[in-house]
Amino acid sequence: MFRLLSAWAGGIALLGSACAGSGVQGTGAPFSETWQADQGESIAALEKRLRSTPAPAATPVAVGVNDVGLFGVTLPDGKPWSHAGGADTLPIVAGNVVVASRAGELFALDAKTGQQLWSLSIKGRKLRGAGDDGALTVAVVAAESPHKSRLIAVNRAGSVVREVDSAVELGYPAVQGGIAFVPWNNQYVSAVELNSGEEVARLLLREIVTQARNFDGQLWFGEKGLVRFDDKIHLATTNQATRVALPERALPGKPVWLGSGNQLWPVSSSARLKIRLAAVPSVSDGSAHFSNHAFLASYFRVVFGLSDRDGSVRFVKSLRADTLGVGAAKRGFATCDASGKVTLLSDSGGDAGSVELGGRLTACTLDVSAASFTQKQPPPALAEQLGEALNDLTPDMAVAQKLLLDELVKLDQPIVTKILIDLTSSAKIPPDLRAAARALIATRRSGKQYMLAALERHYDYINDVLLPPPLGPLADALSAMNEVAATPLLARHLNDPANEMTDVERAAQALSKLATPAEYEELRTFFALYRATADEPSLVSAVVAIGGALLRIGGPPGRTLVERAAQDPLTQTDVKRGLTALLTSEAQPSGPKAPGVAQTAQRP
Amino acid sequence: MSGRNPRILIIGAALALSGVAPGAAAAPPKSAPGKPPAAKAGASAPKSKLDLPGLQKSLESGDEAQVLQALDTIQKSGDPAGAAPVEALLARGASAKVLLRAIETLRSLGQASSGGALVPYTRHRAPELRRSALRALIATKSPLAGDVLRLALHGDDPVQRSIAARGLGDLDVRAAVPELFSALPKDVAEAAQSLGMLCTGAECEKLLGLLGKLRFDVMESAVVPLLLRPQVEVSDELKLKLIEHLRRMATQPAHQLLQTALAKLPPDGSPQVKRGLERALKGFSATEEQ
Repeated sequence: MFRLLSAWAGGIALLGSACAGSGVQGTGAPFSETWQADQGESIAALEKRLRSTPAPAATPVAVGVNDVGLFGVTLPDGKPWSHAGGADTLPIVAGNVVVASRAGELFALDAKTGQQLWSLSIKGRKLRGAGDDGALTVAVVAAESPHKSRLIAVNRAGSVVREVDSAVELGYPAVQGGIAFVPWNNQYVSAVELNSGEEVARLLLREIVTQARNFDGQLWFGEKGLVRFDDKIHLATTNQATRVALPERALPGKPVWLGSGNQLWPVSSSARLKIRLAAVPSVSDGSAHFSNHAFLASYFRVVFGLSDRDGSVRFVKSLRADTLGVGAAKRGFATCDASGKVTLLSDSGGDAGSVELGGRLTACTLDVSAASFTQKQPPPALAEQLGEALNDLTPDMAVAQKLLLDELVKLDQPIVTKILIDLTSSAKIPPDLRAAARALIATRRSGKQYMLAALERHYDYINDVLLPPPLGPLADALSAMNEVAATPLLARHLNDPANEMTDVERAAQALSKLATPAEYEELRTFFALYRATADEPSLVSAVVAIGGALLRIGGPPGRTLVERAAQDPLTQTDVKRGLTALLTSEAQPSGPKAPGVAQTAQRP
Repeated sequence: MSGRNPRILIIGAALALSGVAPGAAAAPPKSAPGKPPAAKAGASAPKSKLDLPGLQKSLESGDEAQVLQALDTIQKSGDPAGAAPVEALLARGASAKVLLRAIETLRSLGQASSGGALVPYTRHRAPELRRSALRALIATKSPLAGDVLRLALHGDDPVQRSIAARGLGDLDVRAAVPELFSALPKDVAEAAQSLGMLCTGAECEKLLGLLGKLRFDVMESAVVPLLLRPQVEVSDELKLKLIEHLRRMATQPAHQLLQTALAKLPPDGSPQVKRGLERALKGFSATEEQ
């Protein structure tokens, strides 16, 4: 293979800085550490020069990797292709090519067909980043050990037009109009004219820069935040350039958006590939934001659509397998999972179709920044999405479940109450999550119909109802809502031994407040069964609470019952003490409350 | 969420039917002051050898030793008249020790009228009280027992479910057959025996169909009761089919089961079934035609 090689092997060659500060004229050898800041003059001049030759947008494509090979498909509905042999780092979609490395070879495939365009030796290095301007592909390849970065520029014929070895770490590059943009030293982006090998401009950023990215034909530089390569780029040193950054948001697994452009992304089963963020910066009406005004976060088998303003959850979707790749489109999003399925979503999380890559995957790359997906089916209400995702997640996804639950209770809709109740009744929900859902039910003040419906249910071994309803939390909530319609249901649960004792205690406390004469018999049965057999504090408390209810609604027979129990030597000592206190406070209306009758707060 | 659980309606009906429901628990609010229900019950009952007023006083004394002594006296007497004051004691409530003895006393007296006092205890949180109350309820043959046992079959206590399953067969509760079929594959082995005692026609065919699907040690308890049922309830044809099925299993437990059935077959039992058992035990087809 023909190569036009110009290498600064073993370090950074210094060709002087005679041209520094002189617009797009060469500033000398790239990556010089003696460069003098030019207040953005050189980069501004370059931007002006390149304005008429924008970089092409990437072909919307998903590329999966497994041990056998690469599997690609253009989106939304292209013909799947495959390429034998895998990849050692994540393949990269650059313009209309897919660049990947494997066993010391760098190669490029046509993104639409998978046909190999070229391949060349990179001698023990692996692909770190790549860009394409329609004529030239640039790639930064690096060894596992530090300080062995190499910038390579290859034309469509497979000829190397430039190759630069560098002792400093080179970041993820981009290319536009024959100029490679290479971040380095976490601080600079050097613009290297690939024909001459000269650095023609340099951008100094006041934040970490390891990434030069092409989003839908527009270059952006940075890492955590990105500044746009536009007519304000010369203001970057004073933080006045066009800039975007995702809002701060606690997410499961602490995903980062682009991450460091100085690192390799090995193809492996590591969790790192499954915890990702996808966002595409965009500018409209002079202000920078993200397409869809949202970004996508993945955490194993669930993806979240989040607002780019405040990080609030816009939609949630659970997948059949771990997510390996996520992408944001101009309109909509895409995910690629370990089963080989690429799922397309509308900007609101609705169904926009799916395609199969044709095999189980170890890793997957998506670039859909130039695509727009049409919604085929709108998503259900957010509360239902959250409920569905909570039910679909496996117990080892506790962190995601916690986030979903937190988001769920932010919604003030009655259906949330039902979802929470269903969670407590599902055997596959882990104990921590069930406890959290129970605690939240107690705080609900809407969804009365779902609470009452839940109380109709009892443990039933034969019919596989193996978890009783969350009696205690429901009792707390209904008591706070003064919901008298609940009293017969609560009273029936008092005498169901399948309920947890602490739940029965809370039901008893609710009944002490809400019970009507219609529940007298149930209450009296409970009182008779346990006044002398109460063997734990919560049962004592429940009996005393029911004693209070009997005094309130039982008329003279109720009073006689409680008075006799308070005198009977067989009555359990603590119960007797509680009943005596009740009777005393009855006699003195302003007296202290009986022990054990006070509402217990903040219990699951 | 489905509608109201029918189980709850059943227990509600059971409680409503029981003497406990309208005013029997704890102090006896329906009785005249100082005149306990036992005395009232005793007024219309045949004359008793027991000193009912004295026993009543002891049972209401609140002294555990005295109460236990009174219960002992009643139990030893075997006098049905002693049931009413014990039922009143259950309605009032007492310590677990006293309750267990009281329930045991009612069990030994075996009065159907005691059902109402026992029903609430079949749902007590203490397993030993709950199980004891179920056993006592079965012994009393109370009309409430069928519904309460069916309800207990749905509970979360495996011992309770076993007691209930067995009791439903002993008390000939035909209405429980569908629930027993549901319970059988859910580790309620006692349901097999009851089904062997209760099934008819297609139900027995269904039971037979479970042989080979469920573990033999679960199903074997259904076999002998089924073979001993009169022909009006279970046809000889079905019994011979069962015998032949067991013969073909050619296992020691199956052979033993056939021997047990033959030994238990009453003298006036079906000659055809007897012949079938004898043939099967000799290794021949139970049906002579084959």
